[in-house]
Formats: sequence, structure tokens, C-alpha cells
Amino acid sequence: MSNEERLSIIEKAVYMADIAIPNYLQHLEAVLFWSGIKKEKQETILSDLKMLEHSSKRRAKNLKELKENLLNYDQ
Amino acid sequence: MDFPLSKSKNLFLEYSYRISVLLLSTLILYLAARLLLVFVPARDIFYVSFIVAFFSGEAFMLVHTLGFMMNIAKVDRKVFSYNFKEIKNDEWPQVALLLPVRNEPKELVEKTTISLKLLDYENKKIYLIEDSTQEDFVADSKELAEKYRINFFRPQRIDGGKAGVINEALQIIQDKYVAIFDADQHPFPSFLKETVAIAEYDSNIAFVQTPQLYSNIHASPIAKGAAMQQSIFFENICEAKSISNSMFCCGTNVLLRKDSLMSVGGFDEASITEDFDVSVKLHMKGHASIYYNHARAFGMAPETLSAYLTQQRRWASGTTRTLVNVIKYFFSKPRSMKMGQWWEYFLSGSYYFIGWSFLFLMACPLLFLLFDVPAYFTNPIIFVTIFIPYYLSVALIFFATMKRRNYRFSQMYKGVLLSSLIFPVLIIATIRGLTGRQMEFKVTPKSKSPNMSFLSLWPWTLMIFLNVLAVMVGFWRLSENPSGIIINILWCAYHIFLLSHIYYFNQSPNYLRNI
Repeated sequence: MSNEERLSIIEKAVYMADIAIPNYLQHLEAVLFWSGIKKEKQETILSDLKMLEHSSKRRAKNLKELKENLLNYDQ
Repeated sequence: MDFPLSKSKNLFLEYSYRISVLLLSTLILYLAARLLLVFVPARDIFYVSFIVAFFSGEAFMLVHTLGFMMNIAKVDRKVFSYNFKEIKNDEWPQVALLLPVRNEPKELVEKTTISLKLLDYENKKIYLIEDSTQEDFVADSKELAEKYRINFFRPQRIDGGKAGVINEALQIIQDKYVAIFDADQHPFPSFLKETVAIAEYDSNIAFVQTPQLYSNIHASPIAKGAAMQQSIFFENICEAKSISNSMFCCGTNVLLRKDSLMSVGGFDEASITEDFDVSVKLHMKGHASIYYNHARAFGMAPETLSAYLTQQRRWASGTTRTLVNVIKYFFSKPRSMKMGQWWEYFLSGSYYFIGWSFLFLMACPLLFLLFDVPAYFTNPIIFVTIFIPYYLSVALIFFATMKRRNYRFSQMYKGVLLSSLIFPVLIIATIRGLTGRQMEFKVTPKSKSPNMSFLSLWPWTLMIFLNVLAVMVGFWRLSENPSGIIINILWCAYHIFLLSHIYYFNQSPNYLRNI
């Protein structure tokens, strides 16, 4: 696997973790609203989703660092 | 992830047959009574015109209620399943993803671009179709296209609206399918694999439409109301249209077979609802459409009243214009579609005349109380034995069918209320549609526009004022015909309640209120 391919995979993972997952989660809040699930249960699910969002942001940060390292290594 | 949740069995389902009979009986009884009242000897031409207008308004409502009930019956009889073709990993056909944008904020387009990039589908090409009138938006899009390595396409022509820019892009696209997404619609990763597998199952399928659902429900009251309306439409109504092979393309979150699209000459650039127009043509050519009732994309509802009214004005005017064509086609090429399809297109195309119905129905108690124009609501026996059962059974069936899909009354009623509230806009838009007065294609505004001024809400304010006046006159005249006047006062009070919601819906989005 070339470095360029590696970078492309990492880049995709960054988009997913940094922007797409928080975006999907925002949409999932609406899904919950319409789901008919009880409010208390909804709140539990929502707090789990928030945790997922936090960990996703953390992963995005790590992936960005990894990308930087790869770029520096390349140079 | 499936949304909505599957239909659950409930009391309504078990008693649906009996309820249908009850509803049909109340409908027939009501229609008969109303017809009889139309033929009551008229006093003068003013009275006759009023009766005809009022009856037309009611007849329109009845026809659409009947259409809705027929849809429910259709959906009830069918167990929904979809045919997917099994496709090997290297045999997925090429799909062009079209993202047409016009003066859209960069952050919004970026999110959508990322959603498209992350679609779980190898054989795809993304085209950012940049139709902005301002150069800074064009520069933003170019930057995004470079950053995400997608195709940037700048149309040469500026006069064809969304239809024009897509048609122009189609000239350079060689792919088997095109999927269209508005700038604020975010597909989930499985969107393409599912819709393509459905389209590949039968080469006659021209397009696969998925729901257009809004997720910014907490942004503002109007966003929530609009989201409720969408949910109502994208459940029983769309499923029933799909059963009759008359589901129309909604312009976004849709996968189209390029050959089929080109066989009808692409999108009609003269139409501002090119999606609805092209669907009629495709069905007339014998193509099929599928409504895939699974939420595979989410988007943003208009967040301000002005944005919402702009959207509704365009939909109403464009759809009414297409209705005129549908009627022409019906008489010139009656065999090009089945009766069930004509019926569904008639219902869809005429829906926005509901604005006229509301105006006539609102005028009834006003005219009675202010000018003593007789109304059949003045007779308490007719009101209680005929109107109330009809009204209640329609409301019961509507809310019960939505309940089966896990929607609660509190989630629905504001959407229903909003539909009736926008009647002034619908009236003007349908006149424009009927007279063929061209409306410019306007993208539904997504920027942070402020709420509407008090003055611009004058049609609602005027109607509230007239209703309040009518209530006061009613109390003053109470001794003349107590029961009849009280019934009409109650109607006015209901209309005041309804109309006053325009101020509720005119609230700024949450993020602006705190600035």
C-alpha cells in the first residue's frame, strides 16, 4: 500500500469521525423523536449517542495527528 | 436502521373494517345532506354564488378525504416488501451523484459532500453542480471540489433553474443511474446499495424515491410543523401511490435511471416543479416508479416562516401548472396511464386548492354572523347528526392510522394546522399555476433570515379581526337564533385559534433568538 493510499484512507476516516458521525447523530435525534419510544428511554439513548460523538471527536483528533505524522515522514 | 418503525397492530387495525363502514356511512350521509341543502330554493344570485363556492370547498375536501381513505385501504391490504437484485461486488453499475447548489452556505454543502463521499458504494462519481449567482459561493464550491476530489460542474446557461442545470450536467454524464440530492440532504451510507438493487431488479423502473425527512425539528416551530407535514405525506400517501405505480419523484433523495429520464427529454425547464412534471411523463411512457419507505437520507426543514412560504408557493404553483397538463393529457391520451394513476395524479396535482377550501369554509360563519347569509350550520340537528359524526370519524381515522406508525397526536396536529394556515399563499400560488404566470425557480432559503414583519402577515391579521368582529356581532344577535348563532360563534373561535398560530410559527429559529 502506498503512502498516498494510506493517507486517503485516513482522510476518509477523519471525515467520518469529525463531521459525518456528529451529523448522522443529529439526524438520529429526529429518528428518536418520531420513533414512539418512551421519553426516558429516548434520553438514555441520546446520552449514549452523545458519548459516541465525544469518542468520535477524540478519534478524529488522533487520526489528524496520524495524518500529520505520515505527511512529515513522507517529507 | 429502519424508520419509521414497522406498523404495529392496534385496536384500530382490528376494527378497521367496521370503522371504514362507519366512515363511509357518515361520508354518504353528509354528502347527501349537503347536496339537498344546495338545492334549497335560493334567495338571490349572491346567495347562490356563496352556496356554490361553499359547496365546492366542501366537495373538494370530501374528494381528498376519500382519496386519503382509499390510500389507507390500499396500504392496509398490502404487506410491503421490496425486490432487490443480488449484485456481485464488481458488478454494481456506475452512479452519478448530482449535488446542485445555488448560493448555499459552504458548511452546508461540505456536510452533504462528505455524506456523498461516505456512501458505501464504489462505483460512484460526485458532481457538484454550481449554479450560484454570487462569485464567492462559486469559489467556495471550487475549493470544496478540490478538497474532496469530486467533479466540479459550472452550467453555461443561467435560465433553466434546477431542471436546466441538471439537464446540462446530464449531457456529460455517461452513467447508468443518477441520484439527486439537494444541498441540505444527507444520505446515510446504505442509500445507493439499496436503491440501486431495487432499480436493477426491473429495467422498467425509472426511479426509486426515498422519504425526504427533516431532522432540524427543534430549530423552530415552523421547522417542526414542516417536519410533521412531511412525515404525514411520506407514510400512507406515498406508499399507496407506489402501489398504484404513481409515486412521483420529489427531486431529492431519489435514484433515476438515466435512459428513462432521457427518453422523456430530461427535466422540463419551464416547470418549477420539474420533478413532479417528469414523473407524469415517465408514467405515461409506461415506466414504473418505486417508493422505498425507509429513511436513508435526512435534511433540513425551512426554519423561518418566510422560507417555508417560499417553498410552499413554489410547490403549489408548479404542481397546479402540472395539473393543467395532466388534465390535457387525460383527454388527449387517456390510455397512456391506468385510471388509478390518473386519479392519484389528479389528487396530487389538485392538493394545493385546499387553500380555497379553507377560505370558503372560513367565510361561512363570518358571512352568517356579519351579513346574515344563511348557513346550514345554523341548524343544530343537521350539525349534530351529520357534520359532527363525519368530522370526528375523519379525524379519528387520520390520527389512528398515524398512531399505528408510532406518531402521537401531539406530533401531528401542528403539521395539520399548518396545512390549513397557509391558505392565502396557496390561493395566490394556485392562481399563478392556473394562469401559467411564470414563477422564478427559488431555492428554499436556508440562511439565517429573520422572521416576517407584522405588516406582512396582514391576511391572517385581517381574518382574525373579522372573526373577532363576527363573534361580537354574534353575541349581540344571540336572541335571534341562539343555537345557530352559538354554533357559528364556536366556528369563529376555532378559526381565531387556528389563525393566531401564524404568530407562533413566525418565531425566529432558536439560534437567532439568543443573539
